[in-house]
Amino acid sequence: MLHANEDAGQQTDETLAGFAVSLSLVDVPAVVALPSNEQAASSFYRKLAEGYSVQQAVTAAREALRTSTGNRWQQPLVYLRQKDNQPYVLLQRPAVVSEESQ
Amino acid sequence: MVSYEEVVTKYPYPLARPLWRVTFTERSTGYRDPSSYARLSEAIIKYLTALLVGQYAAAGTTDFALNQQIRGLRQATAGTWAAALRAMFKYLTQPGKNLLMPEFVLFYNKPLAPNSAMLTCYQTVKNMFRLNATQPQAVNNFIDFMATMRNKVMHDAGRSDAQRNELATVMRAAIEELLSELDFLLVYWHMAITNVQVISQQHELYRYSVSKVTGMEIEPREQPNDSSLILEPERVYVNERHQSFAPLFSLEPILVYRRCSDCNDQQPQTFLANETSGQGSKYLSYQCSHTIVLTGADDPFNQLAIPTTAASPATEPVALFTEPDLPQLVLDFGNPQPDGSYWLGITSPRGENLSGRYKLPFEDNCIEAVARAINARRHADYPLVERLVRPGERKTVLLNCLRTLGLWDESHNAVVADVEQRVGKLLGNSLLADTTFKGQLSKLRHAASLAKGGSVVLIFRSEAAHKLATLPWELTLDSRQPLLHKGEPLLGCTRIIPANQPPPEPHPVGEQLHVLLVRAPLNGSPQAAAEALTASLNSLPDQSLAVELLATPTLSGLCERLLEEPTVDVLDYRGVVSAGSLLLTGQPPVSVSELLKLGCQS
Repeated sequence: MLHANEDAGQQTDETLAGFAVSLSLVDVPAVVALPSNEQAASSFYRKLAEGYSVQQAVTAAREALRTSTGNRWQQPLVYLRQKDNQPYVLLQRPAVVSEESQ
Repeated sequence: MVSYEEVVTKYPYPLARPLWRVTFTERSTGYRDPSSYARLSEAIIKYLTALLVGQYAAAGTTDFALNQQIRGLRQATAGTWAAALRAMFKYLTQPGKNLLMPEFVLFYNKPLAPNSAMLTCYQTVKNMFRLNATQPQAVNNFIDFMATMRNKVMHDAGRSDAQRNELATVMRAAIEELLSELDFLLVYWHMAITNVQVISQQHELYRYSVSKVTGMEIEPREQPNDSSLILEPERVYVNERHQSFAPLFSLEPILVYRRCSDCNDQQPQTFLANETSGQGSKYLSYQCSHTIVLTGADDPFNQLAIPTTAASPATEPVALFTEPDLPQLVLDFGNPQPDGSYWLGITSPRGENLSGRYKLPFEDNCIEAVARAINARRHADYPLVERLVRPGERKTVLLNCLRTLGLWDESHNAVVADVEQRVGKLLGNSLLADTTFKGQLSKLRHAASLAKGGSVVLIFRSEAAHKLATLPWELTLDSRQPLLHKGEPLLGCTRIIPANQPPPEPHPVGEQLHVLLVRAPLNGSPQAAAEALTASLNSLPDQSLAVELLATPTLSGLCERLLEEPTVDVLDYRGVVSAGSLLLTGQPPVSVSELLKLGCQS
């Protein structure tokens, strides 16, 4: 999985969406583009560590952006390369641990 | 200091025999091979893990996460073994837990002296392989480093004989020093149960024939031992210190005692867990290098944590966490129709399969122009710095598209400032023109407000629809409000480019997720932020994340790390994406195919 952090402050002449699609088409299972924001990145990884799917982790990052920046919540992108729409979980957790940490 | 002779005659066979073998080979060939010491390092890490897993198993295997971690050792890397050893140690040294070999604590936590051979080895290996590894402070840190060292050395090629000799020499000295610190093993002799006879069923008395699993050779003990203890044949037990026959714990499932079918020797020997095979668990002998496969009931991993009583905590199935099932509205973009619209499969939040149409609000050849216009406007220095048109590019088509769509500001000769809103409106009008979608969207919002979450899923099924995947769908407006944020909660948005395979299997409970941060700054340094993120995530209470910052953000640095263990699960890049490539420090751009090649090699 590649998690590409978009750094809007730097010279970028190509959209991350285009690059993300290129990666998906060569079978990278998940490509996530997040703006540079420590809270968003932290929320994203913490959710993965709690056993949530990539999809839910990106939503958590989106929420964090809405809280911390107000206007960049649209920017996280997630591309999945898989058969159907099932959650893509990277780490299994026992139910009791994850529920406690919610 | 324990001498080499003492190790090979008095230490447990799984340590003594591999050391003897390396020494014997060296003396025969007159050549020091660092790979031999890499294998020996692996054998030592596995044996130490077997010691702690054995003590954990004797205590009842009641920790679900540790049980999963043990099962994971059937397909583990050297780093995973070292991590499992650390996790076992942490568990067994908690208050209220019983470490049957208390000397292990002193051994594992012993600080390294400044003139330690382990430190010399660390320094040499670090310099030779240009590693970004922290200096070990104690034996346990060196054991972790051994895992890295093992991987580096096993994959090493093209080094001179002198360098290989230097490497092997420091590795040997470090291993001898490490083994010397294990001198408490001299009083815990190991034995294998070779035969069991029932002496008295009434009094539950058994007669055990045993072999001494000590030193270079496994030898039968002449006198059998009578005991009421129930011991399993073909298992190696560690005996209570200084006792003649007082088994403390067995070394299964990590270490097994079997005959090697590839050797002529009828004498069984010890094998250590190595990997899974199609049928069961594969075990490797570090004495003869042959493997055996144990399957079904003969596979000790299958017996681990299998309940002995209904009340045992290990018998209770532990449920895995599954995230709440939130409502979704799925849009599946199919093939374009003769009128230019795309067939749209719609799956409602209640699971009904519906259909609709989607017509792009602009020509296909304007998709990239729209994306680039938004991208340019996201830079604070635009239009002072040109972000839209690439050097040498003809901009006629680009600007024609933007003009047609009202996204070009003639007075400022730049993309309009409110480009995101205008594109959002275009996308919203086109999407909401389909009444089926519009109706289901309001149902999704209602369901999401009840479930406190929901999402829109976009599937780009047909090849022709792949280009739609680059559009900024998150900006879509419903009237004047963002489609994903018209009320609470904020909806998620996922894009799927379908493939034949399901998502990869997750790591089982107890394993870590390995994240590699790659920061390739052009201006300024994002290192401090990355270091803060690393520290914050690595300090999660259950250590489920292992985050590391790539020290050398170059192609070779990235390549080296991807070839190392532990395997990277998430590559987190921050830097510049240009013309289909990632820019790394001081390097030509890394293209998608190169990136994939690195990933495949790892």
